[in-house]
Amino acid sequence: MNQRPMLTDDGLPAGVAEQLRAAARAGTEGSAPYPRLAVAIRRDRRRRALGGVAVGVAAVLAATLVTSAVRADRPALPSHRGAGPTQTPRPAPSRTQEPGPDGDPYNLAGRTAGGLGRDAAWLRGMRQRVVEHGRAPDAAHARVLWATDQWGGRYAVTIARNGAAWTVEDWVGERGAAPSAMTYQGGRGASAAGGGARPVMRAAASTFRPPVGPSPGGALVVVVGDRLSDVEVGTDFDYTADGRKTAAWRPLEPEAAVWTGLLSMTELSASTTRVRGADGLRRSAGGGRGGLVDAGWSPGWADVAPPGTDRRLLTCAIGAFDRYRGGFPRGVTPVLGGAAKVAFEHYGVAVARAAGGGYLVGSCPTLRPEGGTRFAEAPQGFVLPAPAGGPDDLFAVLPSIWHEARIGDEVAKGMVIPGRTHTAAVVVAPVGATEVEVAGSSAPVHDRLAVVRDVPEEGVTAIARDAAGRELGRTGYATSERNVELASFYDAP
Amino acid sequence: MDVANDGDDGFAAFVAARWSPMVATAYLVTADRGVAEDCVQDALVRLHRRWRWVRPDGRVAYANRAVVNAALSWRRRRRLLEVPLSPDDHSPVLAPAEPGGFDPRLLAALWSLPPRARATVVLRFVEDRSEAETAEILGCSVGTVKSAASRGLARLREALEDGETAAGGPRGGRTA
Repeated sequence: MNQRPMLTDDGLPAGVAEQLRAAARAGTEGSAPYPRLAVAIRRDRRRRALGGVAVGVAAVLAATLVTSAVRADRPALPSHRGAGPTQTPRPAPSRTQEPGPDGDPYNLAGRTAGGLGRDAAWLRGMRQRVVEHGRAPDAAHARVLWATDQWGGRYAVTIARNGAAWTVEDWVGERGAAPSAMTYQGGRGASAAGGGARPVMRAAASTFRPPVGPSPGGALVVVVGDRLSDVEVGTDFDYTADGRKTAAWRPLEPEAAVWTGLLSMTELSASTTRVRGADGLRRSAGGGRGGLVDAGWSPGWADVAPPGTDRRLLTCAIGAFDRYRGGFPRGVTPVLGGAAKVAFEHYGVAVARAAGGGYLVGSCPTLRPEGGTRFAEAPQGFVLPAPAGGPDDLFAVLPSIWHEARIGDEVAKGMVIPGRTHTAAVVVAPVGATEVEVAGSSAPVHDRLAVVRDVPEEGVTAIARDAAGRELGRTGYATSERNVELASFYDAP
Repeated sequence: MDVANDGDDGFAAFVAARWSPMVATAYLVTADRGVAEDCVQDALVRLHRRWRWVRPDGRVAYANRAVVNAALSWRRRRRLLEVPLSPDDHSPVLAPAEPGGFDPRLLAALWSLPPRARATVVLRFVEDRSEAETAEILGCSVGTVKSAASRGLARLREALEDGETAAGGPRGGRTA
């Protein structure tokens, strides 16, 4: 079973800080200081040059103007790391959101999709439930977008307006539950705070699962978005020999303002949804089971790892490839497993070949202080094209970046981390290599693994050499699985 | 950029290095990207004004303090600009989690904290600053940091426990 992070840092549950950092990165991606900062500084200089009595008033006016300018000048989000499919708007979509007022999620008088769409009394009560939840001033400002009974449960998705803020919410209850017995499960927002403009809503998938226990059912996927087309759910992930990710896509069905579909529980664990927006670009709508999904251990891994390999590290690496979808996809063949240790840093690595020919790497860097009671790990997944000479030629460099890493005082006492951010390159070297050089620093290779510490976070070149000093190959950092998915499935982040 | 070519040697490089982390910090404190960018911009304009007088090794700390202070006061500044607000305008907007990303419940829990407690959690744990550093940036005592951090952690733990209950319990619907 995959080890869930158990480190606490001064009481912070493991992984929480990194998740919040990831959330901040995601929420601010593409943010750039210019030209707005230069404009603000010029304005500040002029204001100071004028000086005197007018400054107080001017500051408010200027701030208003700056704020307006900022909104207008804000650059469009960049393409995702420049590796995606074409950004050119696509031809007219083939499967569009239901036309008319019912297909508009912002039309609060629109009809309800799903099996409960005709239960007027229940829908009335559910709108009142949304009001009681504090998301709408009255029932006229709430709409049940979709509601149904399935398996042993009752599920609903609502939208509510309160001023400029709109909120889409998920609800669950027992099958046949009264509105008052429906439980709020989560929500996301849309806002028209720009003043009169149509609210901006990012399409998102909600997944509803049956009660715990044996069930012939699966999971309901419900996507809500604005003016969508071609809403699809992808399963059965695979990776091609040239390093692309593929999936079996099937369409969700539009009804009123939502798109719905059913997945088996197996499919749900490794799935995603994507939509085409009004701009013609495909984007992720999330999906999947949610939370970490344990990876399965197969005996094949013991056969490809050197005797004595730390099984906990190897297990972590197997799950690290995609922690939220159970590690490696189904149908992979284990190629190589191993672990390396440098000071308090332990590195687990698992390499597998996908059915489609691509090479997949799970990396589990772990900080484990000697005699310490806690440890930290930072699992990551990488995708590589198939090496020309097969697995013996595989040469992968995996960045392990410890952002201000420490485990309370246990690591801080015994570990020097220059500049508080420390990057190590974990190298899977080709057969025959005895030494690797990364960004000018070298390390010996043992069982095809090497660790070179204190290297740059990006832009490195790694060289593998044999015992005679002959160069066996060069490569750079491997591509993260997440970037491969972005580039393979979507036109925009 | 003209700032760098106008006798502001080093400022452009400072902006290039610090913009993203400061916006990220402000985003976690304000729960709004646009506001976060405004806060960082204001802080950098202030720093630029004093660039030659702030010791080089104190510039990051100066900018961090300015950003956090701006982030803590943005609601008041916004009202000054007469931007219409309703209570829900700035309630947490849960960004859909990309696979492998983050649990939106954590952001919701963070953003449900009072602003100063939220800033304490961000500085102390997300940025991994010491209690003393956090207290210096927030302009409060170490004891205040300790108590605010403790309350904030309790809220985050509750959010995680609620999430696990929902995921493992009956009918665990989840927004992805």
